Amino acid sequence: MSACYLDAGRTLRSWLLSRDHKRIAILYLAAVTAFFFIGGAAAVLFRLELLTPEADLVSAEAYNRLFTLHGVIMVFFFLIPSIPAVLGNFLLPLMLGCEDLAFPRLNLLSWYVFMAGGALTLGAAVAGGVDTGWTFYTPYSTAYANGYVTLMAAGIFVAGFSSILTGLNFVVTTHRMRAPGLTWGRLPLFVWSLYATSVIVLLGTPVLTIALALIGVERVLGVPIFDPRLGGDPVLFQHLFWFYSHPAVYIMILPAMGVVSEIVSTFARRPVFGYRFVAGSSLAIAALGFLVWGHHMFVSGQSEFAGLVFSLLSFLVAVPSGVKVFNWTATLWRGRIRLDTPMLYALGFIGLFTVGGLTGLFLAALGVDVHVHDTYFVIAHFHYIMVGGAVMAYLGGIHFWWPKISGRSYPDGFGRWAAVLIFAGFNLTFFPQFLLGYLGMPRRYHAYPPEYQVLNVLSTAGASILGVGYLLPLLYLPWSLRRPRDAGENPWGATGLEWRTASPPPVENFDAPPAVIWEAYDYDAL
Amino acid sequence: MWVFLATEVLFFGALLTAFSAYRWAHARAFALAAGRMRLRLGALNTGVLLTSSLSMAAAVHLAREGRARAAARALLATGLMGGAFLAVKGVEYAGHVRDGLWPGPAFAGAGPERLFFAFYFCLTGLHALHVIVGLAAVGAAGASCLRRADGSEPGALVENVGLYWHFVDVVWIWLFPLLYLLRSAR
Amino acid sequence: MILLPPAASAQARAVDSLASAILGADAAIAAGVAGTIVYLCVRYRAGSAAPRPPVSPPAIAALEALWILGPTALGLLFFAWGARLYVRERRPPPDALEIRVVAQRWMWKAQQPSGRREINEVHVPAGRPVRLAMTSQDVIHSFFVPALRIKQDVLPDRDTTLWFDVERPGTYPVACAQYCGTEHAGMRASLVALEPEAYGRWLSETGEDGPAPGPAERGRRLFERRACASCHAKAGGKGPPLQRVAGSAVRLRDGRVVLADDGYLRESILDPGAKLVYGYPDVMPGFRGRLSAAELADILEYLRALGRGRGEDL
Repeated sequence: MSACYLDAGRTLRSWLLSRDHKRIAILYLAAVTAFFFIGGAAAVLFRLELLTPEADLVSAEAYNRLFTLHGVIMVFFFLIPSIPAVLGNFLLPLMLGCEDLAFPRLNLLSWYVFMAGGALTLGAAVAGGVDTGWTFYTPYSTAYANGYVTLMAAGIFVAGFSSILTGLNFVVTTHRMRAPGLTWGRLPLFVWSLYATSVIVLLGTPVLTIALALIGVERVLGVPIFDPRLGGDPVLFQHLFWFYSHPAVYIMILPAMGVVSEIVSTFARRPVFGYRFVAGSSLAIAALGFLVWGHHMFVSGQSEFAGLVFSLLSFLVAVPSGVKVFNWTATLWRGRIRLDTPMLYALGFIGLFTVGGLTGLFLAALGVDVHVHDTYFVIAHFHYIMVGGAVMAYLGGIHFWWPKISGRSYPDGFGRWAAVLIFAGFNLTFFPQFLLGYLGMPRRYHAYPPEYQVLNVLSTAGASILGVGYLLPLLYLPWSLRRPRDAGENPWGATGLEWRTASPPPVENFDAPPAVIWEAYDYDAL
Repeated sequence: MWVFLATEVLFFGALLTAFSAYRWAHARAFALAAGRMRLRLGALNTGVLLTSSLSMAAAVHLAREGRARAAARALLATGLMGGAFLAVKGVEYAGHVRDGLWPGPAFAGAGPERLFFAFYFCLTGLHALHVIVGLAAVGAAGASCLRRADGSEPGALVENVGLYWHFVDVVWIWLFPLLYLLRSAR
Repeated sequence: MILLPPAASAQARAVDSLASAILGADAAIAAGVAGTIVYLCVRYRAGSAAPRPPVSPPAIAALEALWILGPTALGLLFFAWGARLYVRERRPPPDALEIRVVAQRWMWKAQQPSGRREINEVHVPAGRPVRLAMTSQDVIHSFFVPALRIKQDVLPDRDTTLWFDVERPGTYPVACAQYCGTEHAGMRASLVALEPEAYGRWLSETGEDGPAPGPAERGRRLFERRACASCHAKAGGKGPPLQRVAGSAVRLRDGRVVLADDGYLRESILDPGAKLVYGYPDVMPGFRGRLSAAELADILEYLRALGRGRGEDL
């Protein structure tokens, strides 16, 4: 029995220079938690501003900087890295039965690159902020915005390389380092979803980085790229931006779906219903996800034909997501269901993701999108997917694997309360925004006509509940570290390889290299 | 390495797509602007880079056969040609700047032509950056060949560097006709 | 608290019908999923005695087929429905009244065909199709009328159009929907729909800035001030004569024949070398960056006022 990874060294240096994927995952955990609360603080401020129709708490300039900061931090520094870089980093080698990722040094490098990107972005925010929105639309971002646009774009640019390195690492690891007997058909669905995500990262991120680099070139060198006065085309930037940023939605949600597959199966004690369809739908989403970027641009002046094609494809990309929801539901059928904290998060995910996906139908339907485009309807829709979906699954995953990561159990009562609080607060925050959007309140408004006030007050009230809900795990999870390490190898009775080693795992992950002779989610083989 | 190259393809692909969209929208101005390029220098560079790919292929072959010292010599030749490519590119850039073709506010020409040169500098600049990285990689591969001169390891490193170098070469094969050859006289 | 904005056009009601249909389908699906989850969680809770026989593979296949094909069919239905509305929105009727709109941070400027200008108000006759020809002076904006359920981005140096047919007289809010900087939230206007007679009376009043020259007249003055006339005035000049050029078929130097629509005329002013007319040298200077969006619109109006050609031999 070799030493547990947490005891392999206690100095700061032993953490900051570690090549152990588990320690790097903890480094990411600390970083994205900090980013989450920075982005959340910005959200709290502008939700408070929106309590009243007038601009009274913050000025228009400050408001615009706050929502830009919120979007940039949450998308690029929380949602995109959260599940892959924290849970994926920790679990991928454990689930594959190997000692580490294929390129451990590259893994550490990508954390440093990520932190450098984060430092640049926060630097830009502290120095004076950016008011372009996270979408950086030209020509506003190139010719009109003042503020530290180039610096912030550079931060995202750098962070993009971090995701590329991680994606590369995951793809190679999944191909080359599976334990004997662990065929593709036996992989946990979380691994499938990480694999599909990494492919998207590798193919999409370079397009974003180049688009942001072009903005930098135009701003710094005065070299025109998108300048309409010289015949350039600002809509071209939107094409480049959404070519990455729509697939980025799937970068955020696919790993979340993988987590939910693991949790639902474990707490229903049933193999995931339709394993092949769930795995295949991840790949289908990854492929189709690259073909729908134009649905962000139905009213941008792109051609009618393009609008029709993108609308049709957008309806089609909804199908594999629906397949997943139905299969999770069917997994419960004839199971032995326990409603522990992770399961509450997972069921919350299914509910909120379903609402988010179904409201996507309004946006894919051209005639309706023309009305609700760029309104609060869109805000509500993607928060149901990103927060109701990805964040719920992230928290569910943290609670599910916390005993494995820390070796401790946490107070389950607190956990359930927090899950219910977050679910309720979330709905109160974002459901009114669907109504606001259909009523015609555009997004990115620091002040609004008084008839929208009631719904805005409801939304802000919900946000305060949501905020409390998010603070709870931040309190009781670290508190659980004071408990003894008595979680045991497999507290939930789950089937993955990660549950067949000590909690927390030894430095080499397994005392003896495991071999797999059972199918995925085979509860009878336990 | 192939996975990494897929990322790189998208990197250049995005820029080239943007360029093509503009080429389409401002066909005439872009053809005119291409007419202001220095075709001879571009052709010379194409030759240099293609030849360097040949010597790189030789290096990969030699490394596979375990002839490390010969492979290192072929890598040296590749590196020298890469350096020559950059030198010619530098001369070309200097010429453009002298002619007032730097696409800044002082650009000498019409709006869409300025766009052409904006893309010209972005595309070739990014490419040159890749050549510089390639040179470093070629150097590293050469050094490792010399260290293993007694010849035990067949060079996976040389093979990957070779792939990368060929990729950089292929990018240029795209850039050269797009930027230099699709032209019309004024 | 109101839940629906007023619907002031047939199109708005059509959008509402589609939205209600989607809402109905969504509610049924969401309730079905939620209900099933709750039911299963109770019936198959860990301690329950419910029987749990294995599921047969054909049953799995049938279920998968059901929930792949069902949503696909539903999606195709909503796609076709939404597409129909969209295509109608994009095809203004030919007799629509054209009003020019120029967006500028952070205001909307409109100009009636008669030349009357207004700021942050757009007067239109009710019961008659109206087409807005829009362009922006600076960044991207978006003209959004919630009561009509339509919006369209407004781009710098490019024309976009939006058409509608307001049924009932009234005042409807207009918002900028595309984020455009500090005072984005304040960039609001009113769409004032008047009975046709009232609209006629309103047109004949003089605006606050006194009787203003119409756009064609301003275009004519600009045409002379910029010395366009020295080449384009009559046949035999250095440039082609422009009488009845708008809407005509033009033969180009490379042998192609194109329709001289607004897009062609605009391009030929901004970037004359792009499509040279057969038999004329490439000598005209480009006006890209040298005419404001409003000036360009005036010149186009003047060209149209010189008579419309017939493009039927195209």
